[in-house]
Amino acid sequence: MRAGSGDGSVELTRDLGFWDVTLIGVGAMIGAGIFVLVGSAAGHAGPALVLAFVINGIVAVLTALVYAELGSAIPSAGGSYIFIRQALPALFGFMAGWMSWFAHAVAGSLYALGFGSFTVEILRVGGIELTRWGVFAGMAAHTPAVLLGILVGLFFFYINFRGASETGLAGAVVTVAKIAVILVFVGGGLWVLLRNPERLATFQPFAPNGLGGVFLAMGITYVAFEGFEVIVQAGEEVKDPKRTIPRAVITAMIIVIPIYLLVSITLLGAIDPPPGEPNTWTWLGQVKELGLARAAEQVVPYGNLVILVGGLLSTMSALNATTFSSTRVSFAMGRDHFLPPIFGRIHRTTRTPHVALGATGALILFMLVALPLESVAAAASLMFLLLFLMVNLSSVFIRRRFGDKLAYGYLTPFFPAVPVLAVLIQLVLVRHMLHFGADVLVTAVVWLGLGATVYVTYSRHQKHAKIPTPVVVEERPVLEYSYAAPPVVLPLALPQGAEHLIRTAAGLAKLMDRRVLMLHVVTVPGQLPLRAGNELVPDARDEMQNALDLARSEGVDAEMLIRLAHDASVAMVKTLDASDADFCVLGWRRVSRGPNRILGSNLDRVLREANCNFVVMQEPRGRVDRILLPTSNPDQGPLALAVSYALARTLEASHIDVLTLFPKRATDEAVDNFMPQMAAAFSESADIDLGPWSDWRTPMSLNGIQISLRPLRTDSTMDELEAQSLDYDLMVLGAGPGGLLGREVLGRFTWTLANRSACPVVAVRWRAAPLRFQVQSFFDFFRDDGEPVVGGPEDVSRGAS
Amino acid sequence: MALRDLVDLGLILPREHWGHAPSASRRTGILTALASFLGLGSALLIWYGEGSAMTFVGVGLFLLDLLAFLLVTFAAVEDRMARLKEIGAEGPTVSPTE
Repeated sequence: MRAGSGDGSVELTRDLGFWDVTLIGVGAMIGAGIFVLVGSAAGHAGPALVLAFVINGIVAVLTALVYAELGSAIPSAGGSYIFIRQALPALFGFMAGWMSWFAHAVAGSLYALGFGSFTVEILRVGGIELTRWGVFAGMAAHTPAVLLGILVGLFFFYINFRGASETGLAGAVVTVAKIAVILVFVGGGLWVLLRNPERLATFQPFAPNGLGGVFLAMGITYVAFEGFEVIVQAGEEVKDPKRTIPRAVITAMIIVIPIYLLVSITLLGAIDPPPGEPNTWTWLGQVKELGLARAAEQVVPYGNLVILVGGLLSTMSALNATTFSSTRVSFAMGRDHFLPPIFGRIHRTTRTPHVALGATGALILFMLVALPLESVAAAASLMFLLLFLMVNLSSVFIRRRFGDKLAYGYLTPFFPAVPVLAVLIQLVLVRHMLHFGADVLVTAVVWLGLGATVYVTYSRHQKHAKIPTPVVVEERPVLEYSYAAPPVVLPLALPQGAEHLIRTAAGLAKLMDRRVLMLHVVTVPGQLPLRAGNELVPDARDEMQNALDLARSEGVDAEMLIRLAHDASVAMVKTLDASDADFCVLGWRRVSRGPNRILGSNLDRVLREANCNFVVMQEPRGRVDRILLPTSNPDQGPLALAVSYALARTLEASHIDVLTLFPKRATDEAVDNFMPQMAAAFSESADIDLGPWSDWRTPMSLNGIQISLRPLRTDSTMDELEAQSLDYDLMVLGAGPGGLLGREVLGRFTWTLANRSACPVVAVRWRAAPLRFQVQSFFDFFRDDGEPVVGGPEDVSRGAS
Repeated sequence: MALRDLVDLGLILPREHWGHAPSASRRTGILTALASFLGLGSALLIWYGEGSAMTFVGVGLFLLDLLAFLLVTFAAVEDRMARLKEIGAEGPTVSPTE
């Protein structure tokens, strides 16, 4: 999206690709549901648990098709709430949001309880019975699990309040780990079955509790199929949403359903019941959420522990995800005045929707304490069923009203038969869920009744936003600027204290005949849709205006770009790529404690992932008169000299000393042969208009700035440059782009020298050749630090000798 | 939400293409029908197999059916995107910065 013009274009940053969003959906489905609920479900359905998963899969796929259609036509961060609001009267829109909020929050209670149970079980395996220990002594058997659930619930409340959330990569890693744990169990189980095919006889009788048992199992586990809602909710941040969302929705389902089937076959076929138990499924029904873990003991060494650790991972990531999505829904309802506007407030410091989050946290904790685990699962499933039922209906109304006008990226086949069939099956399931237990029925009735009361007494009288919050607006190519030349990009968090960066960027732009593009990223926490960051834009624009004025006062064209992003580094990399930036000027506030985190994680990532020339600058201390440029590289030296010259012009320095380092063993002849090559490289460079430099021993003068070239022999480059730094006000250091096996941030040499230098340091890192950059990016994926040392005068001095 | 709002949001086809009820392509329809029958058939095999070998044949067929369904859906998305491109309404696309 791009809005506004003139001095501050605003853009959303879309950073989720097909696999990112697919794994988000898989992560939301796989794990917690299967880890926590499969035991209870087996207890109801018996071996027909397999059939329960098949039918649930079919029902879920029918609804997923509808979500794929709607998500491709109306990609939004509100998911089902938005679809229903567009199709049905306001009451239904309200109830959709109300149920979605509850369903996700109650799913969170389920995962918190699951976490508590798994922790208690791990301790039990380790020989610690919590009910005989410390503060837990004498408590009822399930109480420690509930208390641990409360603790983890509060922890994730805090994490979400701080604005931290599972990043894309971390989320994907957790999801893959969960799948791996389950596949270990399935692999062990299938091995047992293959070696003893007679065990398949345990699948008879197939449905000991008849179809009723199958339906109950379906109801309990339906919550484990709700990942497509999460995929659609990510619509605002998905690249190419028309194509990506429908493909991701279906792919996630097709990954998850076979895993559920294989788990159920393994559980019921490969596991022996303990002595005294008539069969496996009744035993699984008794141990409930611990069923999978206890079963794993039989098929894999330490299987119990493996599954429990997998369960802990799953429940934590699922709790985080559900806290996140239910908060988003209540926030959107606050923004649309379906709930009091206080729900739509954003915390000034953390930028998170703290009130919506607090209410969601309270709901999660209340349900966790109020209901047993199975009932919590059933209540969540019931709400999801009702919600999906309404979405299926909405798709029919949306097609009737706007079907010939909406630009669908995917169309549900056999429309309206598919959504109607889904509604009918869901009605059957709802009917069975109502027989699950009085507590589930009462919970549903109380929540829906409460919702109706809020609507009648409050929401109905409010003026609702015509366009619900938030929907993706437009997605024109985001950078439509037509530059005569690539710009000098200056990312700025705060203009205060960045005058030297602004003037340096302007100086470079002037020298190279470029424009300055000032980039300010408004970081929006993951808990909020990107569009919610719009309210922070006016302040940002006001703050950046002074910076823009300062750059223009230096006599260059400058413009401002404000991007809304969940991840500042992603926004910066995208801007550099899209604008084909020639230079990027970055501030280097202080010397870090280690070479792996030179500028902080955000800027380090920009240096690794973007391919342009970087100028990374420490703030000069006082007046700058003499600049030192150690370089022995005739290819890259001229550009470093151009940067030094731009700095000298900007900072009104009078001298630039180019220092070419040689090893002590270098002969006079070697020095005399090499120095003219350096002088020739400078004079022939298109980066700086120096003119012929016939005698390298004679300094050149350019616009009143004296440029001299001198050789120096040393066997300790670091010590020598440290000593030299005492005589200068600024040192410009070259830093290569790194070896083929990975990109550098700046390199250990530059980092160490910056640590030891008496004067401030400006590091210049050159653009890599495109092919080299691609190879480096490939290897960077497998690398976790910035260790390799390349670039810097030590290397180039070797070349010179 | 009114039509005007959808237009403002950039979610609408060019005006000259209004008035045609949207429908999945013929190829998608046929393939989806086949996949659906296979899915339904496998569920029936699982149920009527009552835990015998037929049940597991049903499970196997169901897994194959899921794979077929995935391919059909991908083809359907590409059909649709081609159609949108044809009429100049592919809408949100990957922009240079994305």
